[in-house]
Amino acid sequence: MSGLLDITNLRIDLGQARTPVSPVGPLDLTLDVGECLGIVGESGSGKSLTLKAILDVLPEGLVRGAGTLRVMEQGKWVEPAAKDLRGRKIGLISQEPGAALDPLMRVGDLIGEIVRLHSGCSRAESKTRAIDLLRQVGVPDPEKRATFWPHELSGGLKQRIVISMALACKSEILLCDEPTTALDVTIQAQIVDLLRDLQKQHGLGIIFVTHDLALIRQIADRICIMYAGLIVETGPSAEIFKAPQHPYTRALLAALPDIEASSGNLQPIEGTPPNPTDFSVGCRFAARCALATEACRAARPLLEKTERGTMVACFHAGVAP
Amino acid sequence: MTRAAEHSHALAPAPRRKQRRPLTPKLKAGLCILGIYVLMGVFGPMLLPFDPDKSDILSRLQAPSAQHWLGTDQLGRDFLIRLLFAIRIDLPVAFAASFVPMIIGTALGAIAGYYGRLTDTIVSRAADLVQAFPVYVFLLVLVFAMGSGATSFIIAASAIAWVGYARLTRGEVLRLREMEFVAAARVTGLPESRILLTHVLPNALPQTVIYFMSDVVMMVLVLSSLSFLGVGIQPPTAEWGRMIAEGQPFLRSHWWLAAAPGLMVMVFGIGLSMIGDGLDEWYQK
Amino acid sequence: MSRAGYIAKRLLQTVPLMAGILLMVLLLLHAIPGDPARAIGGINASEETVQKIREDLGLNKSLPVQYITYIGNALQGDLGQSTRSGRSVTSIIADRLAPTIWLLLTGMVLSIIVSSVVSAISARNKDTWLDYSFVALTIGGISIPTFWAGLMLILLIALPTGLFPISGFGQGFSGHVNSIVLPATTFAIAISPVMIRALRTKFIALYRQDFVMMSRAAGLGEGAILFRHLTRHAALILITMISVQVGPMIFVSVVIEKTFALPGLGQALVNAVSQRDFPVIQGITLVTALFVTFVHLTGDILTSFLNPKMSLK
Repeated sequence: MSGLLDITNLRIDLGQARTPVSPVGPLDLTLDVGECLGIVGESGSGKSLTLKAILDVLPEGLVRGAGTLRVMEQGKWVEPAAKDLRGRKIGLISQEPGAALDPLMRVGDLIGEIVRLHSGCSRAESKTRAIDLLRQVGVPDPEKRATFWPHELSGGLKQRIVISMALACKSEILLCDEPTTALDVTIQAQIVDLLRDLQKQHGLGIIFVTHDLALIRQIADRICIMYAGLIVETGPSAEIFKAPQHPYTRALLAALPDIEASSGNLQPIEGTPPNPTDFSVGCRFAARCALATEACRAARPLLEKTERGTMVACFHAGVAP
Repeated sequence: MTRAAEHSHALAPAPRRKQRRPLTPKLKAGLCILGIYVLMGVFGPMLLPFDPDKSDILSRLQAPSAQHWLGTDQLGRDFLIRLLFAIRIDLPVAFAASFVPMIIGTALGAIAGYYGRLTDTIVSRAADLVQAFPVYVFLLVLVFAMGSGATSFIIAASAIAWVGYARLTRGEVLRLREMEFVAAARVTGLPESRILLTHVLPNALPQTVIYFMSDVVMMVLVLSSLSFLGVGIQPPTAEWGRMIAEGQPFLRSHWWLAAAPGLMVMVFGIGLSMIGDGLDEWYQK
Repeated sequence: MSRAGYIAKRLLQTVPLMAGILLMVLLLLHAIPGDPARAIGGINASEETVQKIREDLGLNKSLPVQYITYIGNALQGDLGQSTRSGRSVTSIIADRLAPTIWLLLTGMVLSIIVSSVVSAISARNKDTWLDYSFVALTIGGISIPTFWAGLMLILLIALPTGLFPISGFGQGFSGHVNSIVLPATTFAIAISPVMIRALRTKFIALYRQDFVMMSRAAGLGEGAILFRHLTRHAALILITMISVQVGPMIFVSVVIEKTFALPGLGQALVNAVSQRDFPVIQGITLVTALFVTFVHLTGDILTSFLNPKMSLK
């Protein structure tokens, strides 16, 4: 497979803190053409921030503190500024389709605006292209829907509009920030199918952030498990689901019911993730980990290759609790 | 803790005991300004050996001197003592003109919001009607009709300013009425009027207090404006708006006669705005 | 409900409101303690004069009759005669309308421009010294007496530079323009702070909205986000603010007309008040109340066009 996106040493900092605080990172991510990378973690693990950091659209108070971001452009790795990637190479799909669309603009105009911005075409042309896009993402009766206001559409349709905006300019990478969380179960499945179809048609690379393990198992080729702003385990999806190595991953999978890998008895993970201001020098999971030793508290384990082709950041990787 | 206190505490999430929380800097600064005004108003005039209202044409329009620190006005009265004396008019009148409508408006709004139906219709339509007028022009005309003076001003202000409090309280009560602790209070069999008074209203109060602060600022401005227009407090009583009007003809030669009373109004307004903003922060903490 | 239906309904709603306004204007006369005719005539008026005032104002008839007569006359454009000059109130109002409209329009436009620009800059640079100084100015501005601000403008700008007249409405268009600069600025000093406060809060909330982040992520620049998206939202708030502020605006314009001796409706009102000329007071109060109703109505209709989410009920 050929590379598409390569991020190294990405870090997100709290803007005006006196002592530097980094809720996320440093972490590395790669994505290949046509690949779907899943990022999994509890809420607050920084998975959603990681996506936003890629396009540098972090919420106020947070900044991309460090990291290099390279993309493949005609066979060469280049390092463009975030604003040159937005909407051109990389599109973003957010969690809340209701909030993602400006309520005071008709959806056709919203899509048309993005189309015009990137292609510089005329108003009339952008209108037909917007309708084409709506058709592509499976919106029924697109000519009519284009004249609708966002609030006149269902959640599923709104999410399709958001996807069409992300695709408006032939993005090669889609960043999906829990795109189905706010939707009904049946609609969730439709949106996931749509994303898979689009991925196949256009050879898109997708980074899919979610806390839904069952979903990620269905769609991701490779997954990263994030905990307290760091990747603790990563590798091919099948391997990780078959034999999780990190205690946190195991606990996550154990919390999932009907999974063969789980030992059968359902156990919620005790405790809560630490606050970014309380991050310790050691392993951030140590406080909740049954296997934690002095070594875990003294130094942070780094990601190491395992013989199964995955990478784990744990001194006790693979040890059964 | 007594049994009754325990009981109400279990039902109502707020008002929590707030005393232990430190005051915000804004609140402190605002309270300081208000305190200084009150002190100046109460004690200031006692320290000066002048009569604020007695004119002395021979010593009119004097520049500041050792005897008259801020000089004298167009009728030869000591300007400083008039500035300070005006505190005794502007502050109490503005507070009263906000306090009376607060009581009326809060009561009407609470009844309209809590009992609904006909009471709500009547109160809401009456509020609409008052708001259809340019309220402060209406206030001006009302004060005139009833005869200028502090009492007329307070009555006219009450006839108009209750609307803001009623709207605010009605909205809050409508919201609170549906909350669980009210339902819980109902289950215990408390009479509706007691639930409204002891559980609903106290929770609507913070917003009202904040609004009251901005209303007092507004009322000082309106009172001084009316006096400026010749309708509010009548001469010779010292009042800031009136003093600015009297200073206007001497703007070229004695600019401070018009400037100083305006500054008094402005700093007072800033103080109260800071108390309002500070309380808002404080309640939200 | 269709938009036309909504507008029709909204128009119909103003009918009972107008009736209420007319009733309150009429009742103003009866807010005078004691005998209104005697109070209007003054202490030295002879019994005949008082009797004549009573008849002129219809005070000898019953209240419902007075009310119906007043409505009937008002509908025909007859608001009675001035008890001082004997001129018809309608013609007095017509004469005085121009300066007031000038002041209200220029003042409103200036306030809208100042408050939009300042609040957008303030929100964009939230928690910087620039934002803090705007906020401080706003708090100060809310507490400034309007007429005092006007006098300070005269003192600090008009007197030293001699660029602007300090009173009157000037001759011809350029004269009007020249003499409206300071009053309009005073108007903006009085009205903008409240609008800046509301708009700044709105802008800050808007910048935190998901759709702003999504627009950025789609490649839209800050300018496009501000001018193509956020201005629509801000316009809605502005319309609401103007609806709410129209009462204070009219009061402010009365005070400004007095400060700068602008011969407008406000001056006429203040004069009528000092001369106890009741028909004129009633007439001007009525006209301003109608103006307020008109602004509220226009605001609601504009909002119904701008905000697709508003339920047209």
